[in-house]
Amino acid sequence: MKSYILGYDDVALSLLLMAIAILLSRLRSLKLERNLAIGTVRSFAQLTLIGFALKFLFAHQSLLTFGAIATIMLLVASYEGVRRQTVRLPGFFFIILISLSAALILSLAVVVALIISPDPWYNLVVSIPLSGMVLGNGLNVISLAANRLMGEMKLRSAEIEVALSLGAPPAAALQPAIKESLTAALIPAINALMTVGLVQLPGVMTGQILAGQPPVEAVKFQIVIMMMWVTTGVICGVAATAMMRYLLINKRWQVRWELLEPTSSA
Amino acid sequence: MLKLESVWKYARNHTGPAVLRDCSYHFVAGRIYAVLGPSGVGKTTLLKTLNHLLPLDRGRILFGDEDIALMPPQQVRRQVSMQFQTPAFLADTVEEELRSAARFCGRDHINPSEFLELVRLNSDFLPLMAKTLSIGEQQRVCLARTLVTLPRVLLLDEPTAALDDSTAEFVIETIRSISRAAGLLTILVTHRKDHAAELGDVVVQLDGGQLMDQDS
Ligand SMILES: Nc1ncnc2c1ncn2[C@@H]1O[C@H](COP(=O)(O)OP(=O)(O)OP(=O)(O)O)[C@@H](O)[C@H]1O
Ligand SMILES: [Mg+2]
Repeated sequence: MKSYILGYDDVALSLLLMAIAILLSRLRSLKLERNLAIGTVRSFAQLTLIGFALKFLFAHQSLLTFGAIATIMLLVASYEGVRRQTVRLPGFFFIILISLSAALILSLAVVVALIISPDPWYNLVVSIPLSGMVLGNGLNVISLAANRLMGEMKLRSAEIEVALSLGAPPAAALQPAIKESLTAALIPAINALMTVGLVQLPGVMTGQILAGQPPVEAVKFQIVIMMMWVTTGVICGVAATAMMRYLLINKRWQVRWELLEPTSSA
Repeated sequence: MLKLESVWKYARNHTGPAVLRDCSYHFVAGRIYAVLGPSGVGKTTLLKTLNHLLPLDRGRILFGDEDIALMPPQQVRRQVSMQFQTPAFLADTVEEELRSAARFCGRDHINPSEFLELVRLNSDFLPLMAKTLSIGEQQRVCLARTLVTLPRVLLLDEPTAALDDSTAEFVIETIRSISRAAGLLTILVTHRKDHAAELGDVVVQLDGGQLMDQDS
C-alpha cells in the first residue's frame, strides 16, 4: 500500500477551496469573509507550529515531558470551558479540571497502557493525540451539558422547588434537569456510534488509510477510539453535572438561583 | 410554633427594598393565619423562607424552639409543607404524583386515595393526567400532595386565587376542615380580604417588610 506525502505547494493549493468559500460568502453577503480568512491563517499557523512542536517532542521522549504537556492541555481546556459558559459559576474551572482529569486518566490507563501498549507507555506519539481527543470531546460535552443544565433549571424552577419543598434531596430534585442536559449533550456522540462508517469515515480512520494503513487495521483503531471517545464524554458529563449540583444547591438544600442570573457574573 | 426573629430578607437579586425588614412574628400552633398584602410585597417570599427554600439575610426562624437553619433540611420540609401559587407537577398521573411526593419525604407505603379523599377528590382521579385537570382540581391535588408529608405546618400560597367563587368556597371549607382535624398551623396567603376574613383565625397584613395583626 502506498502512502501519500504532500509538499507545501500541495497544501497551498487547498487555499483554492477556501477561496471558493470566501467568494460564496461575498456573493451572498454573509459577512463571514473576515472570520474565514482569520480562521484560515490561524489554522495554518497553529497546525504548522504544532507539527514542529510534536516533531521536537517525539524526539525528546520523557515522562516529565508528557506530564508537563498533559497538565498544560488540561489547564487550557478548563480555561476554555469557563470562557464558553454564558453564566459564570464560581469554581466551575475546577469542576472541568477534575472531570477532564478523570476521563484522561481512565483513557490513558485503558486505551494507551492496556490496549495499544506502546513502549514506553507514555510514548508521546500515542499519548498526545489521544489526550487531545479525550480533552476536546470531554470539553464539548461539559460545555453543552452545563449550559443546558442551567437552562433546564430555570425552565423547571417550579418543579425543582416543589420537589425540594417535599423534602427531596438535591440529587432527586435535579434528576430530571440533569437527565435532560446529559441527553442533549451526549446525543451527537451516540448518533455517531450508530452511523459511523455508513455516511462518513471518521477522521482517525481517514488519516490512517491516507497514510497507507490497510483499511482493516485502521478500522480496529477506529473502534477503540470510538469507545474511548463516547465513554470519556459520558464520564465528563456525568462527573461535571454531579459536581455542579453541589454548586447550584447548597448544604441547606436551597437552590442558589442567583448563580443562574447572568447579572451575577461579578 | 413558627417564630420569626428579626428576619431580614431581600428579593433574590439583592436590589430594591427588603421584602422582610426586621420582621418578628409568632405563628401559634393550631391556628389559621391569613396573610394579606398587595402584589409584589413579598408574600410568596415569606412562605418560601418559612419552608427554608430561601436563606435569610439576617435573623432566624424557630420551629418550636429550634432554629430551622440548624435542623436537617429534610426534617424542616417534612414538617412544614408548602403549596405553591401555580400548580406544578413532578409526575404524569395523580397517583404517581402522590407516590413521588411520598418517596421524596421518605415514606414508602402510602394509600394515595386516602389523601385524595382529604381534599374531596374520589379515587377515579388516580390514573388521570395531573396537567389535564381543571385548575381547581390541580390545586386540590397539590394540596393533597402537601399532606402526604404528614406536616404540622401548612403553607398555602393563594390557594383560591384562580378559582371561581363557589369553588373557592369549597376549597376554603376543605382547608378549614383539614387544618382543624389535624390541628395544623396553617398560614395562607391571599389577596382577597373576604377569603382572609372567612378562613383566618388571625388576619395578618404584610406591609413595609413587617407582619402586623389586623383588628377584625
Ligand atoms: N427571582 C426573583 N428575582 C428578582 N426579584 C424577585 C424574584 N422573585 C421575587 N422577586 C421580587 O421580590 C418581591 C416579592 O415577590 P413575591 O413573589 O414574594 O411577591 P408576592 O407578594 O407573592 O406577590 P404576588 O401577590 O404577585 O404573588 C417582588 O418585588 C419581586 O419582584
Ligand atoms: Mg406570590
